[in-house]
Amino acid sequence: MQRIADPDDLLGKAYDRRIATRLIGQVRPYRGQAYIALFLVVLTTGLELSIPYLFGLAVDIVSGEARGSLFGLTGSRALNWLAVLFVAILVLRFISRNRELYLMSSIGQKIVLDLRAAMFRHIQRVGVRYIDKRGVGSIMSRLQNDVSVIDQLFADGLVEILSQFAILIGIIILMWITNPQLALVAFAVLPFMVVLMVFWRRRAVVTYRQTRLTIARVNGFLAENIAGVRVIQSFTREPRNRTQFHLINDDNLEANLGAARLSSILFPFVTFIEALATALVLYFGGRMVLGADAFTVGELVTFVAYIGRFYEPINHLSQGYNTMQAAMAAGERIYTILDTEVEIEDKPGALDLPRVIGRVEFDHVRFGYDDIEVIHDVSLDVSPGESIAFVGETGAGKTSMISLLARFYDVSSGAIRIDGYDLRDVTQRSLRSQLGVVLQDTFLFAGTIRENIRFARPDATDAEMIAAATAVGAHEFVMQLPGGYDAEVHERGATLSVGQRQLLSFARALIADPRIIVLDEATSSVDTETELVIQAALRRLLAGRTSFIIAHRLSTIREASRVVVMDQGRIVEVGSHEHLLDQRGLYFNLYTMQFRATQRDAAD
Amino acid sequence: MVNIILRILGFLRPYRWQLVVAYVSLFLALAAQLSIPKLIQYVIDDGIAPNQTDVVTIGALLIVGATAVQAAFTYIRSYLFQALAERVATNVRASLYEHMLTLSFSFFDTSQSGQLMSRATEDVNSIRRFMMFSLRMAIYSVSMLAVISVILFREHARLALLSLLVMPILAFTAIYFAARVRPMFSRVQQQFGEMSSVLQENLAGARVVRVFAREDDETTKFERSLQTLYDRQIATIRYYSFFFPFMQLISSASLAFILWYGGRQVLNGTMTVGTLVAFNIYLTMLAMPIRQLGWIMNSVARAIASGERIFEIIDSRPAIRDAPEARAIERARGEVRFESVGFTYPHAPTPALVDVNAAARPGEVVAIIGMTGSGKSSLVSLIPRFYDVTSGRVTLDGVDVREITLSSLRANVGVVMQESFLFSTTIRDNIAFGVPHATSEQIERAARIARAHEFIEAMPSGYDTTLGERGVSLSGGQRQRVAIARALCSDPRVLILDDATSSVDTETEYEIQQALKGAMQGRTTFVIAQRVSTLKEASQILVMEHGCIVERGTHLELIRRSGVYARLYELQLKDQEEFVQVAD
Repeated sequence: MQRIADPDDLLGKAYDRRIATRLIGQVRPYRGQAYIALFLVVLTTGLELSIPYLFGLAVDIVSGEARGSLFGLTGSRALNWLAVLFVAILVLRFISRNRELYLMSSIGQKIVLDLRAAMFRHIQRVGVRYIDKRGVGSIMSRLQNDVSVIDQLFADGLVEILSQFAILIGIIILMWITNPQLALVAFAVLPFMVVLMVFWRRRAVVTYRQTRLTIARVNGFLAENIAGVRVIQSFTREPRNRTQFHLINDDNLEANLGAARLSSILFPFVTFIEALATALVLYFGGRMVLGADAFTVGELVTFVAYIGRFYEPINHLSQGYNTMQAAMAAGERIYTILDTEVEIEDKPGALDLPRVIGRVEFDHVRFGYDDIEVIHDVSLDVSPGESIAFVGETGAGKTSMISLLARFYDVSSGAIRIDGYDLRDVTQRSLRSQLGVVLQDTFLFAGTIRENIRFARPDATDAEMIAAATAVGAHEFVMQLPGGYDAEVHERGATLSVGQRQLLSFARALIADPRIIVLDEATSSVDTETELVIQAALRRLLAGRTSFIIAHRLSTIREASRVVVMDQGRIVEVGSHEHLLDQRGLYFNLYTMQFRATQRDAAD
Repeated sequence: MVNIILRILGFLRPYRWQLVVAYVSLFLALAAQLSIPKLIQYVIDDGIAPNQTDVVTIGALLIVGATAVQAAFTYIRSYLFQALAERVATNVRASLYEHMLTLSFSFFDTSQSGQLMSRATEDVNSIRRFMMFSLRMAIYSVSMLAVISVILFREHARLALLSLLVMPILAFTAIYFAARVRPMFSRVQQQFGEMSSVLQENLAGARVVRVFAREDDETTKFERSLQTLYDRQIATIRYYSFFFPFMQLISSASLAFILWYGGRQVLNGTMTVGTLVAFNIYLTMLAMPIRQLGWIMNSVARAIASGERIFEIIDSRPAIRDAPEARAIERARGEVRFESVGFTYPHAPTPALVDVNAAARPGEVVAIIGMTGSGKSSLVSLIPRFYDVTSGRVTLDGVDVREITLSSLRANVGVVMQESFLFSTTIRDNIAFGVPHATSEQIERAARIARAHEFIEAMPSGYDTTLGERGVSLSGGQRQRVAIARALCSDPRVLILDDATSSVDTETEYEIQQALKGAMQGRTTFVIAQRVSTLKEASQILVMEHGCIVERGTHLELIRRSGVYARLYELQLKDQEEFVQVAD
């Protein structure tokens, strides 16, 4: 998935103690391995830095300097042993670096796995409202992109930062030990470097922010134009959109060119300063070798090599800074999800709801979201086997009523009881496994039809599954699909018609043989044959069960034992369809409103 | 393959002089860079060994000078290669976008928007990286290898041979590694996609998961896909954590040769200490670009794959274009005829429309009804030429629509689709979408007819309210009414309405119905209808089945005929009227 820049990314600290502590806490289960990895970082660095030293020693051996001896040997015998030592160190460095890389990266992967699993588990527990509010895309991006940034931090960022830092420290120490005066000469140019880096960073923050902003704008525009291309073409908007695109595309180019200028300056500058240091060391070091000081050519060569390695970490460290900064921002967003309070939790000692008979009570129920009460003191008593049709305008509280019954939310005051058990006293699992819920959005999962019908009861036998499908009239069309029950359902059930998806969602609800059915009837129109099948299936689904329906079909309303009319969070009328029509109240108004126009036309 | 590379390189044509300057700078910087080990050699051999202080001074100054040259040219080449890459990326993106706008509906029917998006993002990016990195590195590595080889051979042929011996091995290893690791990365990538779709489904189906108390099973499923992802990651990590240090080992092997064999030569007096040091520095310099050979190969391979996908879009010819002799029409009267129209979607096995004949007089309302897939939408989408007929013809005011310029045709036809797609800009801009210089009066008039004016005015910023992700989100009914206003803003003579009731409540449905009624006033209207009121109002109803018109007539005529329409009415439409009867 491509990444459209998150505005939160654009500015951020490279180090936030709170988040860093928690991120480091993720390492705790693997701390044994982590210590080994850290030890290996130090070992690899030591081996790495001994290479220029050995080379310098070789130079001294071959040029017959006093320092040029090994194990008391001189000349070619010393050189032979040095070569053996050199190869041994190369092999050791290979092994150590291999283990270090592997350990570091695998710890990173384990942490990434842990984080994703923890986030997923947590999301399963937070209410659906949270998902609605945050949006699927935004939560996905937390689990995908933000965790990937952490992955990046552990995989190369941290390894890179640690080992480069170790190299930096190692070089400073070695230079100092070899020759403190010359070390000071080499470091003389450092202040220039620091000033340059600070200045560069300040510019870079602004410049790179601009590139991210402009590319986000370009990608946003593209995404919208691809999604809406049909509208653009039907309104012949192409010329204007083309102009618009050129403007933002060129803005992005400008920003990128600015970034190119900025990034191009850094490397040559660092190279130049490094060469300046090399020249200074050669100049003063050369004089020392020539002078009376006990300083050898080999040491000078080692020094020059160290300078070459010295400025490399500085380059890497500035990349590491970016990784750290991104990781802090990502960590912040990850922990925001992990810290979200779980709205609905099983009480300690919650009991399993026994096999339900089907009596449901709403007892002075009040409920609200974000301090706005949407259900005001509603009471309703439903006997086993009764079917209740909720009717009312959007926002009247119908959906809230069935959501409360399925315990997607908890009541603010009052209680809902099934067979006398308060919903809050039973486990969610035992409650929901006995409710058959059919939502308006007949969401099917990618997988086979079999898996989808069995969703509510994975252990159902084939016979039970076919019985459920047959009962709702889905068996026939399923058998006509290539593969029958093993036919694959694709993304959001696109291969099936709307009606077929509805029938499958009925079968899915029926297979658990629930005593209580909660149904949000779909309004989308289906063809005639399917409509007949659906009406029959609904009858079969509801027979003998307590049911709560947000009804849209007249046939469904007419067959309900009671119609409950809701308005602004209150029950305003209760009764049968005919009874309510006779009353000429809100129910009558609601359902005649749209046909008044027709009537008027008929009168014309 | 070569063709694709050549075409990709063709993007550089407008910038060929910049490219020349970039390469010249690259060579100059390289020359300066390669002179530095020589200068160090000079300082050691001619300065320190024979005790010449001024040589040391001169050498140090020359190093500073050479690096200054290197830095200056590195800056130029670095900027130019990046700038070239950015310019090419910008151009490719723009031509992809422009080309996409010309492609017809049939193209978008068969391509996923995510795929198209990744052409413009990921594929453009890999072309960009190719320009920025491979184009430079390929030439840089080869010339560096050549120059260093020449220098080393001239210094000491035998040592040069020995130390350069590892380079082919290193190159081979690097290329072998890159080739092997690429499928591993794509397996990781693929599993990442797999994991994302498990996640996406779980979130999109969050209610269903909770309703059936399947949270634990879902967690198990997700953790299984995470475990697979982890396993594949670890396989990749095992691979590169071996190969990176291994390549380092191979390249340092040449240092061991220099140290041991070169050292002996110095002891023998056939070589100077300075040469030994210079050899060491040259070999260290060379190792880096050789190690990157593998990545260069990968980047080229990726650029070729991306290039193929990009050219596939750029090369696809729009199916619907202006005919050479097409003429623009002014304001149409609005007479639409379908004459023996047959239509088959590209690549579809069966025709969507078979021998359809129908006519609408100016201002007439034609309602079309039928099951999903009966051909209703196909029929109306032939009028604004979203598709072209396979046989027969569609005429507007007696002229075949294929002989009218697309822009003048579509300016005369207003379309309200089933999905009311609005853009994330202001409501005003959305309504004026097809009319560049619409006045406020025009916009408001359209909004009033569409029954949108009131709710728009009630918003804090009225018509200037921004919609979309960073703005206000409208309800389904409101979106539909804004879409109707958008279609009405240009006051089209022909109106196409796909009036499928999505889930809206009774009151909204009433509002929309009123909006539609206003919209149809005085226009030739084709409406895919679901509402009794609309059907009753239509001057003719076309009943479609399997791509044919099976019945036609007014509501009353069709009811009396007790055919398909009567049955449809009985089953679905009558419900709507029952209340009316009760109310009477």
